[in-house]
Amino acid sequence: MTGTVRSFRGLAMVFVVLVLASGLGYAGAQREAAAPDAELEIWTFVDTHARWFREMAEVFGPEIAPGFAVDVSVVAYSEMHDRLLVSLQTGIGAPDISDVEQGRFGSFLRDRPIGFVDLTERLEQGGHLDDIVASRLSLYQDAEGRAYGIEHALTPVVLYYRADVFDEHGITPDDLQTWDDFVRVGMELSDDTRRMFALEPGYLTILLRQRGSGWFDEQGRIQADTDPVILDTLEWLLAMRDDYGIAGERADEDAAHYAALREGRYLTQLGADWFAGFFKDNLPEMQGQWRAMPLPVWPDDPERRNTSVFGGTGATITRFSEKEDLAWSFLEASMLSIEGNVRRFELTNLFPPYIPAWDDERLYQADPYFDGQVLGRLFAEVGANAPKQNQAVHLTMVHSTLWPENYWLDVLDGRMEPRAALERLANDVRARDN
Amino acid sequence: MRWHTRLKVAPFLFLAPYLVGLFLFWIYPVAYAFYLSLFRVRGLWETPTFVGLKNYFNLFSDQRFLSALANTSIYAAASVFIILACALSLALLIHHPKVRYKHLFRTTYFLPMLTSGVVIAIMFALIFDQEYGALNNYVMAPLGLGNIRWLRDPSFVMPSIIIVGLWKFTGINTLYFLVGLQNIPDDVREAAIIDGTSPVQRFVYVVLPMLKPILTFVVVLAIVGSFQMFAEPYLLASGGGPQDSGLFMTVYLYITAFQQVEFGYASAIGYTMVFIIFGLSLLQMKLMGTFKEDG
Amino acid sequence: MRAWSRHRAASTAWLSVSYIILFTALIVAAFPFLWMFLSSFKTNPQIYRIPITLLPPSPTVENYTMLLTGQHIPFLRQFFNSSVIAAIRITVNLLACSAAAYAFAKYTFPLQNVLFMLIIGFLMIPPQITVVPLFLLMNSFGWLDTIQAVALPGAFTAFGVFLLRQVMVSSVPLEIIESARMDGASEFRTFVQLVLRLPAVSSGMIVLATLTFVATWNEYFWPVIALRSSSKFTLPVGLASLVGMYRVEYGMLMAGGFMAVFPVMLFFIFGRKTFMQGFTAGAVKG
Repeated sequence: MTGTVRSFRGLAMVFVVLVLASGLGYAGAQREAAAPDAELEIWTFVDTHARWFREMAEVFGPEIAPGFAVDVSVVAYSEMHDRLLVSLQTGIGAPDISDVEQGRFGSFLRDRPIGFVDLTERLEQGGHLDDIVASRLSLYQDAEGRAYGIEHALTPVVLYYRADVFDEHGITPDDLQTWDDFVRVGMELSDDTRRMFALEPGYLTILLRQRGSGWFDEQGRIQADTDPVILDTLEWLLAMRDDYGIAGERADEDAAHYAALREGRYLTQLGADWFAGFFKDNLPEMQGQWRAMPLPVWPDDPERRNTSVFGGTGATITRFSEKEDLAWSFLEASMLSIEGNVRRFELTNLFPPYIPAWDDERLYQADPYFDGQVLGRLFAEVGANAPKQNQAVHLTMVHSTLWPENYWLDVLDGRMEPRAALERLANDVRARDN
Repeated sequence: MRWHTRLKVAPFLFLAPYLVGLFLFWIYPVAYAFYLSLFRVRGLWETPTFVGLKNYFNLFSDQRFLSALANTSIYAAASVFIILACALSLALLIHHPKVRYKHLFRTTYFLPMLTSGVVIAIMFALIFDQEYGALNNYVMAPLGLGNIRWLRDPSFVMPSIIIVGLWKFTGINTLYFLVGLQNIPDDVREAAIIDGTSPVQRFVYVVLPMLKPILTFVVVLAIVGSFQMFAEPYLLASGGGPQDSGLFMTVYLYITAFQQVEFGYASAIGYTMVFIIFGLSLLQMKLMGTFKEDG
Repeated sequence: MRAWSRHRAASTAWLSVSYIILFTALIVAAFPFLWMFLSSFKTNPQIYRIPITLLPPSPTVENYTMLLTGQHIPFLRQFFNSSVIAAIRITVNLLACSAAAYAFAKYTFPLQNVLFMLIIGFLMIPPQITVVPLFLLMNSFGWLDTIQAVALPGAFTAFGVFLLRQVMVSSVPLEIIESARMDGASEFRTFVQLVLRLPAVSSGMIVLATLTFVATWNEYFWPVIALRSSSKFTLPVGLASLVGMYRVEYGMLMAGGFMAVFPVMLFFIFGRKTFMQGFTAGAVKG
């Protein structure tokens, strides 16, 4: 018995030491406290955004309020959006400012009252409405045209490619004018250990939009089984793997995919502007090996559109913020200024959706990571051809579960025919409306 | 006289703090959950509408709920037949008088049980990785078994979660069985040995019947535990997994309540779980004849 | 003679097979911990490379510094939250359960058995069904995203009452309570100064404390619902929030996992007996 009691004293002591150590450690790690009235809580799910928000607070803090500071939390994508949804329902724990991914935005419009502050009037008064690319503003508007979010990125999609390997084989972007060229070059360069690209579910979305289609039509109706372009594009993607042997499958974990890129198993990657930042974050050791070019065009496309749009995230002010004006001042200073937009491009490669920033020379500097390429020039050029994107209530469902988690895998693993998968997907979406 | 009042009042004073807690955090929520399950409650802003038992009826045509029920049942069956079988085998081996290092085995087998489900999910996410995971590289490849996409192939998601369950719960059940084996009086076994029975006969006719109470206990625990699995399937299958192949009941309840903010429907899922757990436990106690034996 | 040696050979063979099985199981049980620990000293490119290696090629403590300096999550703060919640839960649980157990064990009062059966009945109800009402309750208290919202609901366990009542019934003699009363001690003083100090009772409490600690420290389901902001998260919630990040250092996750397991392991080393006793306490009765 005494043995137990003695060991318990040991346990209790260890416990006390742990509590004290972690408490002291945390207190020590705390920087000098900001003025509580001038601190904004910000949520985001992207590392690079967090970095930019923090820097913006340092740059613009002094002119916004004395003692201004931001407390930025980075939480994983789905967890952050789930938390935000519940916080906006209860009013508990909601941040002042939160990033919301455009694909998730629709699900927040279901609540009444809407959990975000209506920014329309402020945008109007500040004369900002015409400064934001219209198709990027509409992503965060409700049916009545009220705007709740400000976009971070223009999200033009380009083709990132292994410049070193292409150079070695004497291949230049001019050799990849169309997707047919892409296949030809791919067959030349691909072998057992190296493929042109790794198929991922988002590629269908990207290519659909490049071809002027999309999961939803302008009225927000699902068209997965009614627009033949969708089936055609999906079959084309599968043919890259099955008929031409130039495509592999993307690993499930992001880290494993980056490892595959690091090992040189894939020569290209379709990605929007934000993917440039992901390269730098996840593959710093590949500096100088990648460059980017416009997307090859579809041979039958009379417009010869060489880009698409993918992703995008808007900053919002939540209805429960007690510092609405302060939050607006911060957003206006950072997201609606040339300086803020340029700095964001420099830090994260997000090309500004804010038109006045486009003339700034700093957007067009050579980027050492991309072998000295002027990425901004490319984004600006293809950005002018960016397709429109239709917002829909069920976009979230298609983008985050139905397609990537279910039917894409079925098609990829040969459990389902492409046509059947698209029909099932469309029916699942329609069933939601009934 | 004073003594008498004192003895009458004291127990209630001792009970009071516990009962307040029990009422506030158990009885009230359990009752309120049933009330909620009769309403359509979408978030906090909408006024709840009374729908009677509609939430319960809807469950039967809800494909996701049926997947969750099927997956959970498969897991429960695997816990009973695979995990408990492994645990019993290990317990029998450790219990053998000639086997040494008993302490070492018991202690090490016990460790997984002490680990947070979140940490387990984090560990196993790496172990299950298709290309860089320890399982495919260190076990499947040497055995000449192909590269399996454990957490992405719908037909392997449940096996993956069962492997995690096997890893986590075999040890603790081994300990339970050891307690049961230690409670078998030596003379019973010796008598059987003298009777000249084979080890198999001894196990079936002597050991197993003596283990019945503990078997009932671990089976009920395994079933209840299956319906309570959350962190591992939720994090490993990221929600429901491909085609909901890894969707568990508790995960579905969580998704319904805190992602879709359908509080009424979520409560109905919760109550259905209670009915199922009670039903299964009663059924298996009846099958194992606990009532007959003890009553 | 020959039969005897054949029997012996068979039994040695059997023993070897037993050891092979037992040691294989031992490796399987221990391997994930080892893998996690070793991976916590690797960078992403070292974890994700072919062929995979057990040992870190060039061990780095970067993952630990990243965690401890709070670059992604306020790890120390979350560690502290977890500790405080465990301390509160253990204290409340021990006080409330021991007092209730004492009432059941050493007094007679109306409806005693009914009440006890009711409490035991709650052992059977899965806690999941309470989370939605609890969430709404905590919301109306204004307690969401607070430490007490996590600590209190799990603090009134039926198992605690059950366990301690067993102990008190069997090892607290009525005579010593009677004699304390004769000496003029109040009921409360008798309980606190006499009953709780009996070795059997304090061992029972330690077993309960251990179980409560492990359960609280590892809990994920309720905290992930009740806590809303990362500075309030417990360790499991904080670590889980890193799963699925765009840029995730797996080594850092492994380091976090290891540090979350570490206190429990430490406790386990100190009080192995208590742990084993506690975890099998339910099974003894069968």
